[in-house]
Order: sequence, then structure tokens, then C-alpha cells
Amino acid sequence: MKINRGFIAGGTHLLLLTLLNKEDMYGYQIIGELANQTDNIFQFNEGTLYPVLHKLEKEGYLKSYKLKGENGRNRKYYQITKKGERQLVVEKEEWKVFFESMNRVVTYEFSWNW
Amino acid sequence: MNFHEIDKYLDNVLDHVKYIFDHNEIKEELKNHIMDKVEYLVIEGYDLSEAESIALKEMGDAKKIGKELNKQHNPIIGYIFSGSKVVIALLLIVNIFFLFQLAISPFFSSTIEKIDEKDIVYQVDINKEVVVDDLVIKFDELVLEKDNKLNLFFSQYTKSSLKQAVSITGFEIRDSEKNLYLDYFVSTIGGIISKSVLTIEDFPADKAFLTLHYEYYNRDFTIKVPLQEGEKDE
Repeated sequence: MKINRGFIAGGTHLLLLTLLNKEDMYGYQIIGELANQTDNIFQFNEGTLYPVLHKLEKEGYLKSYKLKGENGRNRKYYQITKKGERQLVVEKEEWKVFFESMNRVVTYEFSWNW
Repeated sequence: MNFHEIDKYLDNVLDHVKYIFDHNEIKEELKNHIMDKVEYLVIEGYDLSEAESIALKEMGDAKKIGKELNKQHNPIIGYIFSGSKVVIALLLIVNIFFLFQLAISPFFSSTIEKIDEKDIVYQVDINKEVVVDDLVIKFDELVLEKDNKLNLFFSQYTKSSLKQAVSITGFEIRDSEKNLYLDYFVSTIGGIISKSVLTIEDFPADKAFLTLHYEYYNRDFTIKVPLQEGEKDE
């Protein structure tokens, strides 16, 4: 199964904040990490990651810094801020409520069909 | 290697980002992503042009990304939230004022004032050209005056259209003993090819050579100019 979506669609804030809460990462690394953790289930338009990162940075949930990579290219690393950490808690809670409600309905539907 | 397609893609993205002061930053970030991907695909066994087109395809629609980036790089919000950008904005205003002065200047197409022959201690032809992105800088000559003013004559022009007025500053200038010269001033006369002269006051006449070094992101050049009368750089 493949789910085709862009980063611009909702729900990605939570994914990005969660990943960056573990370690600072640059864009290409984030894509790789997402691919790994989801068994490539999402097909991303990779470029759409950047407007979202820039948005989170502008809103103060992330900050960025540059480091030179091993190939001599500058990497722009993103780091979660205190504000971002608080936002992550809120979004996680929202997701949990959403997921549980969804699950109750769907599971009920399933068991009824069974 | 020719990454023409990648540059074209990046230009397409940036066409939609109105706030040009973030262009370099965005371009660098996206380009590094694409290059990382291309490298990965080449290691996976694709040839370079295949890798390039796959990488670009997986980036997604340039127009859509550009439009989304544009929303995040709004000049007004940028000015308010970023101190450094306020400084840049002020510099821009100063620049516009300066360009305006140039435009109305009667010296618009004239050249920089020549130094009188009898004031010259030595004169060295450089005749070297460097290219930084679209900007071509030609270093013409160095002239030391009797009052120890060292003048570096150079001209600049862009290869692209006049989409962005670019000019280069921030050379590091050192003499043969590696002394760094920070106090210099540059005067420029506009036109499509702008002529500039960079002047260092109190330059010792006994130095053997001068190096001009420039580094910004991954662009850099170094030019070494011998400083003896009659001696020419090859």
C-alpha cells in the first residue's frame, strides 16, 4: 500500500516535531528517516518538506543552524525549540484523541460487520 | 558535470519567491538536497542524467513549492521578525539611493579618475578574471601612489539579465607578510559594466606581493599579485 501525499497536507507538523525532538536533522536526512520508519509507505514530494520546515521555523517551533557536511556542502540543520516542545505535547494529545475516537468508530464498524 | 536541469528547476522555484533576500539561502538548501539525492542514486547504479531527472521528479512541482515557500518568506513579516533582515532592508534603501544618484550622475558612462603619471610609484597589470555565480569580476591593475595609497582597479558585470543587481564585496586583502588590510574603501561607477577602485591608505612600498581572497558559501577565489615595478603576473 502506498499513501501519496505532500508535506503540505496536515498532520506533518506532528511528524516533523517528533523526529526533531530526538535529534537535529537537515532536510534530506528527515526524508530518509521518515522513509526508514514508515517502510516507504508515504510517497513524498520531497521539496514540499521545505515550506513546512520554514513555516515551523518562522513560527518559532524550530530554529536552524549550518554545519559543513563531509562532502563540503553546507547543511542546514533544524532544531526544536522550547516552544516547539510545548507544541509537540499539544499536537500529540490532539492526535491521540483523534486516533482513539477514529479507532472506536472503525473498530465498532468492523466488529459489527464481522 | 552539467547540472543545468537542476539550476533551471531551482530558478523555477525561486521565480515564485518574491522576497529575493532569502533566495540564496533557499537555493543552497534545495540544491544540497537534490545533490544528496543524485549522489545516492548514482551509488544505487543510475547514471548521472537519470539520477538528476529522478531527483527532480521526486522533489515535486517547482511552481507549487515556490508558491508555498513564498508564503513563508513574506518580506513584511521577515522585516519585523528578523533583525538582520531589517539591516539588509536598510542597506537596500541606501543602495537604491546610491543607484539613483548614479543614474542622475553626469559621470554615468565615464571611467574612474586616472592617477597622474607623476604620482605613480609602481603599476602592475593584473588582467585576471574570476566568475562567482553570474558575476564576472575582472581585476585590471594595481597602482601605488607616492603618498602610499594603493589602488586596485577592477570591473564587474553580470552574465545574466539585470534581474538582480549584484556586486561583490568582502575581499580579504593581505600582503606578503600576511598583514590583513581591513581599512579600505571602494568607489564604483555604474553602467552595465561597473568600474570600481579599491583604495588602501598607507600601504608600505616594500611588500613583495598582495593576495586577494574571497570566500562565501562554497564560492571562493584567491589571486596573488606581485608588487614589484615592471614585474608582470602571468
